[in-house]
Amino acid sequence: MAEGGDNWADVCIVTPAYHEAAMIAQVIDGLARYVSRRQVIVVDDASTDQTAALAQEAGATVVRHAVNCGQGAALATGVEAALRQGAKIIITFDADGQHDPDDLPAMIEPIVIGLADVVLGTRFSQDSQSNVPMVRKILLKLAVCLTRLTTRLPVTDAHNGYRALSAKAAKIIRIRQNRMEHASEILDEIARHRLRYVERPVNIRYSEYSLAKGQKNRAALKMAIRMFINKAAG
Amino acid sequence: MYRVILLIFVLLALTKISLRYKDGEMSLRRCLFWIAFWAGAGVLGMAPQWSDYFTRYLGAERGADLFFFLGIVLLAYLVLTLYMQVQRLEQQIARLVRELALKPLNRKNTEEKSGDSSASDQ
Repeated sequence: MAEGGDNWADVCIVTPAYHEAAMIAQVIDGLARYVSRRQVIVVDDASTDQTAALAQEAGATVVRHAVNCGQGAALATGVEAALRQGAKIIITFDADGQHDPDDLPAMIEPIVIGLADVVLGTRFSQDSQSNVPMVRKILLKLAVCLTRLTTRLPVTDAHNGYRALSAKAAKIIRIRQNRMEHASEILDEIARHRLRYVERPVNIRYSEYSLAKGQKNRAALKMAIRMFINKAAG
Repeated sequence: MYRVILLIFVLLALTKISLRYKDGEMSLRRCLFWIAFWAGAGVLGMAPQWSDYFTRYLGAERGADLFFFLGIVLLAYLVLTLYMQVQRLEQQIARLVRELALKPLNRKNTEEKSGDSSASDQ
């Protein structure tokens, strides 16, 4: 295990995965530089490829959904699994290779020193070296405006899957949205429960693979509409 | 003639609603809502001139305009209700899927813990 000493023993990394056979082993190998492989919890959201088998081979703890429920649901399952394993710090980490394991120490540090209960990764900090495509950047900035209006949280990145939660925050935050709206729901919960949070710069690596696999820009519009209806319906 | 058909239809609907409520398949609130709806439809069908008065009172030009406007409002309400029910069902399914997914992990944790305690007993 690398830097951080004893703190890493209490960390679980939750990686929701759907059809990530191409990347999952590589992602787990990258995380294994910081935590033991069993501390990586891969939640396979009913993939029909070899995602679960490859994750198991790579030594991760694998939890499988019987039917596809969405990334939000997979994340909630992974967080629950981490809490049942006794994790004191839970990190959410994407399975498509966009997130950089070398950002892990900076993500857990505020929780370890008691500065915050939630650490949110941001790709829009000056210290971040993310290569965000222009259209995606515009949509993400719009999401930030919407989030600031609804939650009053002055975040700079409202849809970043790279987060660290203390066990206390993980128990309080309830993720009910099964699909991509969970990202906004998490921010709503932070605001609602007045959890202490900080942002830390993270490097997001967009590749042809991750852009092809990731959320399409038009899906962002559908998500915004669903968020609006959810808020209106209460 | 159409009034007779309408009256029969309204009476059938009211009977069905009452029976469903009696059998416990419908809540009182829903029952009262549908009774009010069908009774209103029956009254307006039997005395359409009342709809003109009602229409003018609400500021619409014609009864047909009001009918479509109210129809759209009702449909929007029904769609929103259905959407929320679907959301609830999805959340329930996710909870069920989660518990099933975590069962092997719980079993493994229990086995590891009992393995540890029998090792410490030795």
